[in-house]
Amino acid sequence: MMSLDDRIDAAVAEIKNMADQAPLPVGRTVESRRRRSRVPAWAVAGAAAVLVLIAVGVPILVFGGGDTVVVVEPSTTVDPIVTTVPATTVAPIATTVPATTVVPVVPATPMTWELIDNPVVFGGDSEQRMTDVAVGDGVAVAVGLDRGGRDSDAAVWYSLDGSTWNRVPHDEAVFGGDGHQQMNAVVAVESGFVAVGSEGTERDPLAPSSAFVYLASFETYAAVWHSTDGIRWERVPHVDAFSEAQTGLVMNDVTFDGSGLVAVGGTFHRTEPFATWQWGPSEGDVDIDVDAAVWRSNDGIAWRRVAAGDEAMGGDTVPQQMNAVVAGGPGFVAVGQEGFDFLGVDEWTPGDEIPADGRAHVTENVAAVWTSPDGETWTRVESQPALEHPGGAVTGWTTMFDVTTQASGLVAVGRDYWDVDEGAAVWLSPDGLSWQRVIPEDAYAWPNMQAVATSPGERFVAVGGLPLYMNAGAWSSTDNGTTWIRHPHDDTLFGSVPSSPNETLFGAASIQGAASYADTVIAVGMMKQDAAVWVGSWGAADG
Amino acid sequence: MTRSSNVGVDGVIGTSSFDVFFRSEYRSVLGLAIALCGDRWTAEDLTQEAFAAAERGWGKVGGLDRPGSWVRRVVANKSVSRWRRQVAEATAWRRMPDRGHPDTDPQLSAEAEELWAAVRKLPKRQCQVLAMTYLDGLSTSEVGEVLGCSAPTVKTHLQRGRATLARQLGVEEES
Repeated sequence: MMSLDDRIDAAVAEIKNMADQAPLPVGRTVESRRRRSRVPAWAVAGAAAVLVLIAVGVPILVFGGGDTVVVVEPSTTVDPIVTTVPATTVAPIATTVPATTVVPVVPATPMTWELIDNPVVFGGDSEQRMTDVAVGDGVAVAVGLDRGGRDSDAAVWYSLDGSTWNRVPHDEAVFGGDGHQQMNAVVAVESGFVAVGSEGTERDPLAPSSAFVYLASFETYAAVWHSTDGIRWERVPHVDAFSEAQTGLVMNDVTFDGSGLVAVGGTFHRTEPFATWQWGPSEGDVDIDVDAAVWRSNDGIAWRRVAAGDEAMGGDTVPQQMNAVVAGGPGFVAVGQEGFDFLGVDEWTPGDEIPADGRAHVTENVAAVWTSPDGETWTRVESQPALEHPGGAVTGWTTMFDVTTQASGLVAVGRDYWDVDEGAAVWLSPDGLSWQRVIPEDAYAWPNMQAVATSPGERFVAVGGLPLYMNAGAWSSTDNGTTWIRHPHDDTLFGSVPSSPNETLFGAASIQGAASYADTVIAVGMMKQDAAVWVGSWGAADG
Repeated sequence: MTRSSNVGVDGVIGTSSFDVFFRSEYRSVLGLAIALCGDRWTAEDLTQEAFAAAERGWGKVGGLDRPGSWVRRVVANKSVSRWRRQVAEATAWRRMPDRGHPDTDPQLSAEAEELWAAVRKLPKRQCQVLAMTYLDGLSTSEVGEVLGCSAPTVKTHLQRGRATLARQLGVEEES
């Protein structure tokens, strides 16, 4: 039997032989080689855009499904809540935080994680994905989408104990309709739950040759759903604030400050002569400006758009988008990016003047923060080193995906891709105005922190992973977010990376949302193209 | 003219300190990139990008004790990310109707490709440690210097990576 070292020696010799036969580059080939791609540039860019937009929770339809509407039935009936609770074995979710919380001594890995496996509830044809989760009034509610039917529909799952989950039965009038519907975020409010997202045309009419159906269809609208108990849902009727002529609108996140709601997201509109982003191949290019967008509501039912057109939202020349919002700091704090997460060709740095021809191909971005005292008026936080690329790197993609708050201040998470490396990123701020970067453990082994949740006692959990090609990952912090420990990777728990481009991505996983109650954290996302729930427990690790 | 450049206006490779560094290190770094990327063309792109970055910052990079470590770190970090991204791109490509799949440049033997594919499937740090240890013949402390971690950490990654590789390939792991 051949030994491992024999196999390695032979494989090393082949690699070295291949490298030795490679010609030494002559001339300044680096830049030209960077331009060359074995996949057409538009396809590479499209794939990258798809990845990034999925990562930031922006809904995208890749392809329509078959012609059959598939309704995934819940595993149990949904009526009386009490009948679905296994009364003897599982403690109900308690959303009231104890007034005094004792922080346990922190072991090397302060949490245990469990993947909840239920293909009947979480699976179906094509893809099901959870994008966010919220806990309120004894119910955990996860929202997302289901691509198993004729087109993409919004989807909701719920649990009374964090471990046993049910799917809210599909109702085409509530979760479906023409084109796609997707819930991107959910929040618990006094009257129940509010979910936000988007709906729109199934295919982008302006990208006829593109296989990617991009959300920035100008017939994409913001969408809101409401539930009094997390189980029975209604669609909030469309209002003018959800749409804008020749503009795509999407809500990425929503927060509740005790008296009202703030939803944030982005707008996508065609611009002439300015074009801050070019999409697609040369034929059928779409020039799009991306701006931040904010909505307000007192009850989750009646919504209005605020600060539209303000310079803080991006104006005509600077692409910006809000990915998340939290009630905290001076009132509200929203995070996102300036620039666009897009692997383009010509370099343009945020802040640079738009070229004379009005076209700038955005190839990098920096993290962006906005604050508001009341949710109505917004100010863009001034650029600072912590929001840019480490070490003064020239090119990179730095994005904040989520933000949360606790007594010590704000914690934002995201990712950083720069000259030298790519990694998960954490930012801390006492007030939403000044930010500090901290480097989590194994930051550069994992490229993404997608969501962050707060547990009592200044403890935080961050989760992440990109849905198409990565493992999921989870970090925890017990010291106000200053230091972070990554939970050891396990393929069974967090998914596996495919070993070649020809291999199916069926093992990939991502976690996109998280919420906590007491000593438990519920994280949601997608595993093997099914919706997935992970339950983390503080202080239960046995080392 | 004091600025380093690997090529003059006439296309002739120069003799600056960067040129010497480039010529002495390029193929070795390329081998590392091929192992980590699994694709020679992508590896060449990455390697050239890394050397281009080194050239841009040669005033700083050239002053390091081991500029080769800096370039290897860039390549090691970006190779894994790039490769994983490529997987996604290739899959996205496959989803497109009426379009083929990009070539994969299968120039290694099936056995070698199987091994490097298994290496690439390891967690990022294990993948990097194995490639640097065997392709560059670096010691654990040298690999640690490149990756910015301690020698014991490198040793742990190496042991775990080898164990996983042996299991996946169905071969005996010798100590």
